[in-house]
Amino acid sequence: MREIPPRRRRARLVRSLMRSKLALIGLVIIILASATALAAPLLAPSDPARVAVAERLHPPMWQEGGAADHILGTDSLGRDILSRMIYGARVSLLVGCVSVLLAGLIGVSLGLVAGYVGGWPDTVLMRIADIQMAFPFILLAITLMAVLGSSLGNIIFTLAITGWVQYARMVRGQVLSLREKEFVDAARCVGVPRFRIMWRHVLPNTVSPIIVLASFGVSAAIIAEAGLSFLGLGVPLSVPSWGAMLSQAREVQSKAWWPAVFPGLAITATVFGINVVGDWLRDVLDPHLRID
Amino acid sequence: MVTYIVRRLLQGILVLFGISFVSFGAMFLSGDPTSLMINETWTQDQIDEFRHRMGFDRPWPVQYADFLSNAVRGDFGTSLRTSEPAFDLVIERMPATLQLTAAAMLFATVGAIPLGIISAVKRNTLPDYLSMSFAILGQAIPLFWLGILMIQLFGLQLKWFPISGRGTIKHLVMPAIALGTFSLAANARLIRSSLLEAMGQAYVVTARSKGLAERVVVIRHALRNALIPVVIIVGLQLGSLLGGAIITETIFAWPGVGRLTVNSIYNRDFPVVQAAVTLLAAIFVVTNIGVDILCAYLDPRIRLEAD
Repeated sequence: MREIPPRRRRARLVRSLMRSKLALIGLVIIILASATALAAPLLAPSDPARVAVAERLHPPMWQEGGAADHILGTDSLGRDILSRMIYGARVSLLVGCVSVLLAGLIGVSLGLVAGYVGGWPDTVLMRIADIQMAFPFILLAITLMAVLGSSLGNIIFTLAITGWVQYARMVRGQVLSLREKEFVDAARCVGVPRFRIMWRHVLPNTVSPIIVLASFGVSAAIIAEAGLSFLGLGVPLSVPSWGAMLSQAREVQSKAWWPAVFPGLAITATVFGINVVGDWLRDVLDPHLRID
Repeated sequence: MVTYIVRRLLQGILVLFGISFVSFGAMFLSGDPTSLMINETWTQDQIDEFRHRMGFDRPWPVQYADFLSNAVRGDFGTSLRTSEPAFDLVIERMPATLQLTAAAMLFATVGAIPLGIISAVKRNTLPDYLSMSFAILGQAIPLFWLGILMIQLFGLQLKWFPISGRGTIKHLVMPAIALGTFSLAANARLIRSSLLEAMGQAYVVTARSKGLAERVVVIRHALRNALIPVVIIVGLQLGSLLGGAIITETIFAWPGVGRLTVNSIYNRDFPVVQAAVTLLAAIFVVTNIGVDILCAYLDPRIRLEAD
């Protein structure tokens, strides 16, 4: 394999990004969503928790009866939908990123050890992985949340616990083939300690597929969080989240369309953005996994 | 082949043990399972009596052994709400869930084949871009939002389909589409890439060079081989479909196991939750073994490696 200098590699990434319009759109969506989440208190036109029963179910401003003080209208308790969506971005992105970070950390470390050490730790870990893969993911998450109770911490924990397996499996597979490569042999021959070989020589070679998996992991976690909150098993009702907004919108679905449409649009756009960037990353970083 | 099947079945039994342990152990994650099932109005005596009646005052290995030996016989205790056997409650609703899942799977597979073929054959033209945009969008829309949108548009506005319940074919249409769209999108992309790969193979070039019509080349020669990975993925999708059915059933008030599970969670009726979780996971395990055996049958390399 020819070594490409980092600077040229970066230039190549940027060029390929400019060529892929879809990935560029995705990146813009991700940046917008992150900026919204970070600057929520500055952007939100009103307090997302402010209940005003007199203003309940006001339509969006461009519809008859709508007004500029509630651009996207109000929900069944008179809360401003746009403000709740802006704050909801915080929950979605926080849960998505932190849970994937944790799942990746657990999965990559265990996969690395299982693949490199082999023997009984490998057998035990892979059997646990088999058992966990036997559960439909949402089913396991629902069960855990039902027992643990709804809170931001619990949902991150649940998604991390249900998500680590795919990282572990992938890293283990990579390590098994890397272990036999000459450069690992060479390191072993000159007496590099086992841990250092794993850390310095094996792990860096598994980074590309990890990044690809993680990007799809974030969008899966965002959908899962919204789904659990939709079922009332996610974040507490007091926290504005996209999934919970949809669930509350169902109660008034025959009277008003807007409480159900806008939060769903936010979820779909965010997930779309992350997915197309993930597709692009896979094409660029990992030619073996290329879809076409 | 026999060795492979036996080994796969033994693995499956091990996994079933694991599943029973997880659905048993989940209740203990909160510390005391009793606290999950009671409400604040109970006196200490009532709580103690309940704990004793449920057997929660025994050491947990004893409880697990008991749970396991009962579960094998289809006994998951009785519902805390209705006092009916939990297993029966779940089994009663299983046909509804299986019907919904099967319909979604059918929609996802049958819908994906033309989309995938058009995309691959007309690569980098408008039809390809359209069907792949649809596929990328289909993977981004959460099924609960799709369900809500369909209820708004086709249920409440146009009144084409009933918005809840089960009965006629019309009841099945919206839930099956909501549940199946994600898989349809994934399948369409997979068929496209798999077909593109097959079209580059030597046997396709041969078929073409002997003057076969393009339609015959695509359908008889390329598509047949391209569908093997699709068969595998469709089998594996059952897990996410069963999971998705839980949410779909809640949106459309579909009287299946998923809705029962969610309602039992709201009611803290844990024997029913345990029965439902165990049975759904068991169905998934059994289908996975079936898919693996089918793969080994289709692809000799897999079974030879195992022998």
